[in-house]
Amino acid sequence: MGVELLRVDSITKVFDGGIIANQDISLTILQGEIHGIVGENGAGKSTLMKILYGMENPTSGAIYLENERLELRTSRDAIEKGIGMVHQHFMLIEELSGWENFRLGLEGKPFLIHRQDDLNELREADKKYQLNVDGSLLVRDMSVGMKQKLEILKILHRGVKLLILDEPTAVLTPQETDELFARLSDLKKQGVTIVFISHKLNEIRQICDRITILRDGRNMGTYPVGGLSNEKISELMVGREVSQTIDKPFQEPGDVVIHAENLKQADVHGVEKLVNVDITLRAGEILGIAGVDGNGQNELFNVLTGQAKDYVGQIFFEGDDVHHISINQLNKLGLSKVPADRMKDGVCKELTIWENLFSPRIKNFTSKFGALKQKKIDEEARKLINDFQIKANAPSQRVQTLSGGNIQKVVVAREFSTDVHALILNEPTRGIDVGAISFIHQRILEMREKGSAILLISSDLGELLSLSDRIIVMYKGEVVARFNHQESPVTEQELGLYMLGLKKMESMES
Amino acid sequence: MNFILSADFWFSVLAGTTPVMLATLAANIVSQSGMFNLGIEGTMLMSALMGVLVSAFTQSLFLGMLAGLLSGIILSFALGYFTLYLEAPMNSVGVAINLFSAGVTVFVLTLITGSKVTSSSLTSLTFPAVHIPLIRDIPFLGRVLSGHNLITYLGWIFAVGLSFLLYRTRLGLDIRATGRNAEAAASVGIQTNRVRFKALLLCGIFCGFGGMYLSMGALKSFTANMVAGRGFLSLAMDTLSSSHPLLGWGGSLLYGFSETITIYLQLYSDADLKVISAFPYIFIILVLVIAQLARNLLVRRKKNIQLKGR
Ligand SMILES: Nc1ncnc2c1ncn2[C@@H]1O[C@H](COP(=O)(O)OP(=O)(O)OP(=O)(O)O)[C@@H](O)[C@H]1O
Ligand SMILES: [Mg+2]
Repeated sequence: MGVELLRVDSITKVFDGGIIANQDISLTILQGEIHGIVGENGAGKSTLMKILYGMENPTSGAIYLENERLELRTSRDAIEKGIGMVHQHFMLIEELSGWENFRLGLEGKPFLIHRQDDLNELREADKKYQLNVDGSLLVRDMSVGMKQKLEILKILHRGVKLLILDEPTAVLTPQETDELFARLSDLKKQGVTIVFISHKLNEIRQICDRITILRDGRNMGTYPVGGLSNEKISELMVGREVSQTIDKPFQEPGDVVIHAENLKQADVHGVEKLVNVDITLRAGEILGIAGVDGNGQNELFNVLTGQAKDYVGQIFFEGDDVHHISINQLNKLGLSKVPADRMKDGVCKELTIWENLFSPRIKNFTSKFGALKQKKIDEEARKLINDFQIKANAPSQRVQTLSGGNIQKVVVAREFSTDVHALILNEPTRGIDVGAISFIHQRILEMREKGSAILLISSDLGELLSLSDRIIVMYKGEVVARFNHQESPVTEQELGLYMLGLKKMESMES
Repeated sequence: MNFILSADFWFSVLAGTTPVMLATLAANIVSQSGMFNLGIEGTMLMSALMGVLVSAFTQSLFLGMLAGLLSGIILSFALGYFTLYLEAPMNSVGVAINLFSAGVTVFVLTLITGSKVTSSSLTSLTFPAVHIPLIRDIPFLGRVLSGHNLITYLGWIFAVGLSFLLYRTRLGLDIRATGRNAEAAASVGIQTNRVRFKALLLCGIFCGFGGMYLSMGALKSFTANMVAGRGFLSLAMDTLSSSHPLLGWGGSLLYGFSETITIYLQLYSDADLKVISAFPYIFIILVLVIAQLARNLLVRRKKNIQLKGR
């Protein structure tokens, strides 16, 4: 056994309202190891990490770093001790640019800001860690993947002894994940200790030395990763076996619901993000969009859902040109959507669960005179919380006090529970645990069976291949391949060739 | 309307702008740090009185100034203390500051001078007017730009200085980061409360000078409620200028202009007084609507050009 770096000694965390997030957790992190933490949504992983980073104070218990007791009042104390953390939800200031976020809080920076110096420093670090972050962009103009890489770059550049990564790969593509893992291995060789959280067991297997399993705020044990089978891990996590097989019956698609023709869009710098995109989406089918992050998928999402109106071309929703239809109106017409960034576009985190669940259709819950029907709200909210297995105390709990995966479930529950004609999904299972993923997949298939037209953007090729009826590959804003996956299945390898731009179909039917 | 061409008119515009501009700067820095100070009105009022009293009793302008600044800072810090440490709601504390100042100033004034309205029985000091060499000799412009009260020039320096501080220095970045997302700022080790108190310190100084300009510059004594809504107006200016000090200055100039023109119209024209006194507000609204329309047009233009370009 190696040398102990950090010891967590019976940490308990009880939040206001009596939620016990961590219960008597003890564990040891060894010098130079990559230590995985797994557990269901709401098991208490993020809470424990925030305690180690000084963002939350434990109700009881102690932390020792190199056998010295740590008194962490704020993150500043943790940073001083050489602890760095990449959070599950971005800790970036959207209105500032990449380099401003990068230099924020850095020690030893001069009082006057030299933009060029900071930008160069970022570029150098970026080159060193090969993350491809464009530091001159405003954060709000960055893709989710780039934001995540900026977060990682920010922390790596500070040089830490203990690096905590809370679901860093949830928003990265498989390629980016591999690159991140290569960097992490380098860091490990340099003696950095890493705590890594993920819901993807193959990732845990790939880089972790030991893992700790949390269930309902309790430590179920720490094991060398080699000694555990996936089934055993799942069992320890959930307490029962999880089945992951999806069974998808053949289904003829119905009428056209969304039809988009010749879509073009450019960003503020005039770079083309969508190039002559044609899309036809029919009732009762799932159209998968494959592509490496940043090849126009997000722009397509924004345009189709009515969030971006600055496009050229035409989009028809059930025959009507949507250009002059507001988002609100589209929603009423039966367009639902799950956005990629749940905290920014998916929920209003200061509001309660029921407010988030019902705000788009609050009319259904008001009396003639506009008063809210609290009882009906409470009943239906409880039903949705139950149906979608959201781990929450009550419908009146504020969304920001839910765990990341459970916030995602709130978004999914809201969007799936209305009268849906079309469903546009951008990474719908991001940050959701294994058990809940197969549950959400089931729901997506149910929606298909009920006749919703579903567009699925996902960087998880496994998810795309198992759910989609047809698949489109996007590369540099252009559709480079179309497959009828339901009739003649394609393989991951074949998709990969198109995604990387190595191949392009000449003639395609849309 | 010949007066529009006179140097005196434009001189008055700049003078009338000063207190609003200082109040707007105070609002700017506070909201950049993520707070909202409804108490600027009261803070200025208190400084206006304290400056007068202390300068009258010590016959020292410097001590008077210190007293004015100190009371501004104390009231601003009170906002910080109650909201950041005791977690009281921001707006209530602001309102409390205004009520407190309105009451206390009149109380102290009566106690000391016996008058409920004015401090004119005391011989208090004023900040000097400054004549700038070289510039004063330029025809027309010299008469507009030179000869203002010292505080007016300080205000100009503050406006430029504050925008430099906000956009070019580490402290400014920390303030903006804290204001936009305090949790994210704290997560990289920024001590957000400390940053906010620095912003409040500046707020107090700006309010202090703004208040003292009224009682120790524009006028030579304190009168009750002499801030007359300028502190509230600054909150609107702050929103309109997206908390940017230079834009805030521009907005304040607009106010200074319309306030001055109203005074002149009352003197020189025979239009209905009611119409005239509504003028500043109508004027400001019109200018803002036009500015916004122009901005929208520009943005749309730019996007169209890009899409057609290919
Ligand atoms: N500020 C808070 N107030 C009240 N309850 C909270 C707060 N923060 C977290 N919780 C609760 O603590 C529990 C653990 O949450 P935590 O975020 O640690 O889960 P997690 O293991 O990270 O889950 P996920 O995989 O979904 O990210 C949840 O039930 C959550 O609702
Ligand atoms: Mg979490």
